Amino acid sequence: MAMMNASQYEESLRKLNLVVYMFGKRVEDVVDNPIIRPSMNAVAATYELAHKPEHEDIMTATSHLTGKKVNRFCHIHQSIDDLVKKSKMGRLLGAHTACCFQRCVGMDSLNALSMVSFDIDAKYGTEYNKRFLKYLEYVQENDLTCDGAMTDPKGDRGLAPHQQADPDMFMHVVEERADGIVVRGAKAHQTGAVNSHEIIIMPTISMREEDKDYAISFALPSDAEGITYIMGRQSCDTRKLEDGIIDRGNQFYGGHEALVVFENVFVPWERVFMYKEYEFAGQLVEQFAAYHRQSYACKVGVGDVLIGATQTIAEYNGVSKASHIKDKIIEMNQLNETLYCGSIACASQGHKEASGTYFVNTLLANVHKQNVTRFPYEISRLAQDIAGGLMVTLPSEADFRSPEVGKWMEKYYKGKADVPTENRMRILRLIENITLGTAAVGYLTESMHGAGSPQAQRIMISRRVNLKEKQRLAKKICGIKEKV
Amino acid sequence: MKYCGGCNPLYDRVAAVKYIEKALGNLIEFANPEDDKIDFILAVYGCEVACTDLSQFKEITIKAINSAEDAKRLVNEIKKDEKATKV
Repeated sequence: MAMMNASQYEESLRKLNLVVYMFGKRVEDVVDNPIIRPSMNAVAATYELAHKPEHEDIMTATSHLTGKKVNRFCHIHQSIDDLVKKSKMGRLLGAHTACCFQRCVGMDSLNALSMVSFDIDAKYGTEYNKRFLKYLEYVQENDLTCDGAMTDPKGDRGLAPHQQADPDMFMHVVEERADGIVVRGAKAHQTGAVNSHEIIIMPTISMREEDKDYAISFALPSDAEGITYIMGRQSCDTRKLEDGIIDRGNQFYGGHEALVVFENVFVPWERVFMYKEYEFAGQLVEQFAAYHRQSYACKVGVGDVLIGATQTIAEYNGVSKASHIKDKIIEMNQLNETLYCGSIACASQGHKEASGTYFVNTLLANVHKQNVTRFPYEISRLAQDIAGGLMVTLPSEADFRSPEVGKWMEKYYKGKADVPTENRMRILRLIENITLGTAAVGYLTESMHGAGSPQAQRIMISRRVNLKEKQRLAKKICGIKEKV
Repeated sequence: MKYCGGCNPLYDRVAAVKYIEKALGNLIEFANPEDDKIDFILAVYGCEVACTDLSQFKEITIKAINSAEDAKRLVNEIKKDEKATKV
């Protein structure tokens, strides 16, 4: 099968039989649900742009398995160029959708598993990599979207998986059969889960022998029997149910997160990529996390949209020529491009692993992600500074359309005389959407906690820097002589 | 014609190509990369990084643009060449 386009992707989702709950009720038509649909549109953009000549050089790659052209989201990185293009793809799609487009987590899972399954086989003579490559070919041939699911609910954070009062706080094996395993547990905060054809499960932390029942990795169709999705709420989410579209801010795209529950789900052996090799759980977490920290180039693209919106409202308000406004716009760009520097740097300083897969520079990937936990907040602060208070006191689109009070909004919310009030409302709603509305879930809180909370990166940074060498350099320069 | 991926272009590449098409009219015809008779490759870069891999077109002349001004320059160049050929 050739790469899907946006409408083929949408049709493929209609064939799934997902068990999805939202506001306490089963969602019968997931694809057309007005709250979920903008997030489906964002994933569809990853299919749509792959068919555009002006983006195919970034959006597509050549499969190292089949030699065929594939969507880059299904590709295993074969060079430094592939890693750099991944960063560029993130920025491109972030700028195109102004939200999380959800598909990079699956790509990062596939790439991490291509290395870890290889390394487990090298140690134990197992056949995980063979299984994985067969699975990868299936994903590439059918151009599938995969949800990479790592985060367990975790229960008491001070206890290891096997010490939890409820053993299901971490995904684990409950039964071993001749034809496969039965698993139980859940994965939290799953971005794009109900827009995915497949779900790839990975352990969430390093594990010891006592936790070996939890050291499992596998892939299943997203509608496998026993999987239930419970949709997470986003601030302002019900605005999508209202008449009119201005108050949504982003007219087309959005994201979603879900709690995914696995209640005694069967996994055939050919879909199992790690089974109780507990000493490889930490490696899988670290390698997936490093890739996924690189993936946060997408926030640079969203930053592009926010900077564009902020410059526009400055012009609509008639203040764009003020020196402090110009300076703040420069600072927003400086912060945004600094984020891009980090994502490009960790890609261009990557290397080839034993499996043949190219892997990012983990120190730089973690430094990049640490910056992502901070800079979007500062960029948002500057955007709100320039936008002014009307962003949060603006009445609704329904009021604007009202025959009774609409004329007063038209009159009193006018900025520059030649700019329609409606345009001013639209750009303010977009800034609200990104900095404290539904898209702030992706631009701010996901920037903070997605791919690991800030402390996780600081631990990795401390592990990856050579502090002793820095001290040796300093001591040599100032003439300190110590006995070795 | 071969576009770069357009991660962060400094101008509207698609509009620049449309401009070239319109300005040159019948003087040029866009072909598939697999075609035998290709006079030159038009490489459309979004910025000066010019990151597109064109190694598959080793034997063919590359004419690259990475700004709207470049597009105008290219149009003038092709028109000038065409005039010279007629003379």
